[in-house]
Amino acid sequence: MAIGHMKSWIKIGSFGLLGLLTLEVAARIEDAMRFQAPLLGAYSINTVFEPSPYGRSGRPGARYAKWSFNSLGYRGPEPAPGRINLLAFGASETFGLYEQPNGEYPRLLEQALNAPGGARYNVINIAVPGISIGRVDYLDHALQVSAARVVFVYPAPANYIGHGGAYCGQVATPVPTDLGLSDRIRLAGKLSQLIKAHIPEPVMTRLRRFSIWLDTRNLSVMDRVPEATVDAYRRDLECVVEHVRQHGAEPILLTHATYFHGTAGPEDLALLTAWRRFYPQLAEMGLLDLEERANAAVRQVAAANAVQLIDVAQQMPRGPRFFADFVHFSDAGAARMAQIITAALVANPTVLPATTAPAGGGR
Amino acid sequence: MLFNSFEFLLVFLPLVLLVYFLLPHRGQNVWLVIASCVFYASWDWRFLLPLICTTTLDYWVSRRLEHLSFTQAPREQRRRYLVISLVANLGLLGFFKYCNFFIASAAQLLHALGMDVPLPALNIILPVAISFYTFQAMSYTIDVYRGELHATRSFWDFFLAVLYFPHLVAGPIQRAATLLPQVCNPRRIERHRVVDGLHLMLWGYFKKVYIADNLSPIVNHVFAQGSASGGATVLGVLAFAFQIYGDFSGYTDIARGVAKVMGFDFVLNFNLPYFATNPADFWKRWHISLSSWLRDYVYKSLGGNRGGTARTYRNLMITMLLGGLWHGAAWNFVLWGCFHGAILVVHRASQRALAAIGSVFGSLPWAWAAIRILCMFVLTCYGWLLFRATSLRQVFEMTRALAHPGQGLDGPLFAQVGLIVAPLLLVQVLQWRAGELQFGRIAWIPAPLKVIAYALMVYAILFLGGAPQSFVYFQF
Repeated sequence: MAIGHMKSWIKIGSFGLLGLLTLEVAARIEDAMRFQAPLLGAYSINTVFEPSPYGRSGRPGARYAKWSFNSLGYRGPEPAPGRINLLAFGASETFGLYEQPNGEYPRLLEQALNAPGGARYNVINIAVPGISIGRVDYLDHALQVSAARVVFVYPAPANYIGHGGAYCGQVATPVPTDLGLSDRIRLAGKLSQLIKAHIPEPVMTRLRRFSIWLDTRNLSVMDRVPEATVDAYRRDLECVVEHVRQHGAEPILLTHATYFHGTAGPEDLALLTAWRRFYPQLAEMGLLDLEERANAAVRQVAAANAVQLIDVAQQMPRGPRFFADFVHFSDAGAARMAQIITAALVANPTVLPATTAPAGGGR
Repeated sequence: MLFNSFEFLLVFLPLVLLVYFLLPHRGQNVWLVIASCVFYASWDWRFLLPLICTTTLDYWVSRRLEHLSFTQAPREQRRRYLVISLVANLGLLGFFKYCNFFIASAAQLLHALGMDVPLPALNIILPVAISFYTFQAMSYTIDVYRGELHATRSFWDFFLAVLYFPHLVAGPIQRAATLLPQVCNPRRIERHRVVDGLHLMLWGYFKKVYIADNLSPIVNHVFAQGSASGGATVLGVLAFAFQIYGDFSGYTDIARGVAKVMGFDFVLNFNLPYFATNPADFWKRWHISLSSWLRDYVYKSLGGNRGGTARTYRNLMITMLLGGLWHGAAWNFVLWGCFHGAILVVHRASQRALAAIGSVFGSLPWAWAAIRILCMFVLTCYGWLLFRATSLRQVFEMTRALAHPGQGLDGPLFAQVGLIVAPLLLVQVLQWRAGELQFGRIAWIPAPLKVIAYALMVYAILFLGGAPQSFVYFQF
């Protein structure tokens, strides 16, 4: 009797295992057919980055779904020879998360700049999700390999929350590629995406609030970041300007835009909570306060160093049409971003070099 | 609340089942009435009002009929009550569904005659499922009138039989004779029935989410064009043939599966319809609950095949025309019904000739069967063109385009349709060959292969489905 019972459990178990195995194989075949993904090995957004002396960088030639990297390890196509290189430096907002393939703003900016008089510029998207603007060693390397003439700097202030000081001058430690279960087992990754996509927003907000509560049980929550944080941000911006100029290139500073355009009503609370989930130690309104102070710092640094400023935070409209979440652009938002930058360059045509000859300084 | 929505699958159904399994029989019925009201009211709570009115009236009429039958009252008196029920049900259906159609048609006719009479269209919202529940309620009073069924004493049992959420919105059209006893008597929850129910649900979701929802944008694209090329028409019609089958039979399977898990047995509504060898065979396989309803309550009431050849043909044409009109208030549905009536008549008239041709094949009966299946499929597909077209002009344009079926054929899109439909065809060929509709019960397929097939089905539902669409038959 017991043996019969056990046999039946073994049968159920092996069929269950076979079912799971089939699902995993199906997931791998689908990835291979849709994205030319390898059948074996891990395949997720985390596999396209690798540890580097600058923390982490894109893996040359890597691809994942709509994201593909060129041979330099930057998102997008190979820079076309004979063109003037311009860099777009920033974090995930610049890297592009939600836009259609080739819909991220550096790609659209390149198209816009090259539209009137034939192809002359490469806009190289050197952004890395989560990178702080003060990682100038990463920027130095990008300037060296690209001999870029202009750098669009779109900093993300939130990356300074909880950080002691400026990043500039600090030696980065390589960030190990930490592949979790959802990176290694394709089915787990797909299921987690499916669940996230279908959990109703009110439930998701409650889950996020619970997660924030768990994270801050033993912490004191800040209403606003200390002045030292904004100072660190300011010092890093100064440092970026200095390093870019050392390479004979010209920086263009952009203020940081958010979904909220500076103000948030009760209807925005769920989205603010979603944002805060990444920085639980800072209260929701503290995030908006940081944005305002950080953008003031950008304006100050631009003025003090005679750097062209593009006030994206002022010009980008608020709302879901332009933002897919709290800070990341939708397709329309990326298009508007490219439009804003192009308009600023048209208004001040001397900023963009007209020839490929270096403006000065070494490579 | 759609069967393919997460709120149904993850909240409504688990909650309903959980409470259902904990309750005794009468409690289960009360719970199902509440759940069905919530389900139906999720579209619009006002839709409940006509439903409550018709069921109350039909309950009262059937009780009166039962009483009159018991007291052996004159037939004329009983007939009066039946007429009340029929007028009320058909009047309700006519008002909500056909009023504007007839007003618009009258206006067009008057315009064609040179009289421009302004006939205002009424602002009527068509209650979801009205065609289904009026037919179900009518069949109950007709059966009681005919003495084929005893009227139930319990209003709530009758109300539940009509309102029961799995079949309410798009069938299968349940006859009271089969469903009421299941409502009145305690139901048995058995493991093999639950497994069968889950199988039906899985297969239904596969047909809806993977087949129908993936074909839907292709079909919409083709029929959105005023006039399509021959190749596009062929592609669109072929895709629609499988979309509507996947959509409607998928819904039915989910409904039957949910009901089975709760211990109810619903009638079979689809039996491999594209394997039909002739029009009569098709209607024994497609939307069986409607075709048998029309046969029993319309065709037979008209005299069926008892009055000679001409009357039989007339009765077939009238029945199919009404069947077409049941689907919607539009001339293309009328045309679709007429088309099916016509092919039924032609098939009936040419049976001898067909038998003679069949005898030529002698030792190759399978070849003759294959030819007949193919011919019937082509005819069915042309019927779907009439059904799906957005206007009579489009019917005309697309029919003309079919003279050049290869013109403008989009190869990759055709391959995409093939890729979507291939798993369905494969399973159906297996079902047809084995004579077994439940894939899991086909004996010669090894169990591990079945597990792999089920896992692939789950994968397709979860990750390869098209953008969620409403069920096509909800509009009827």
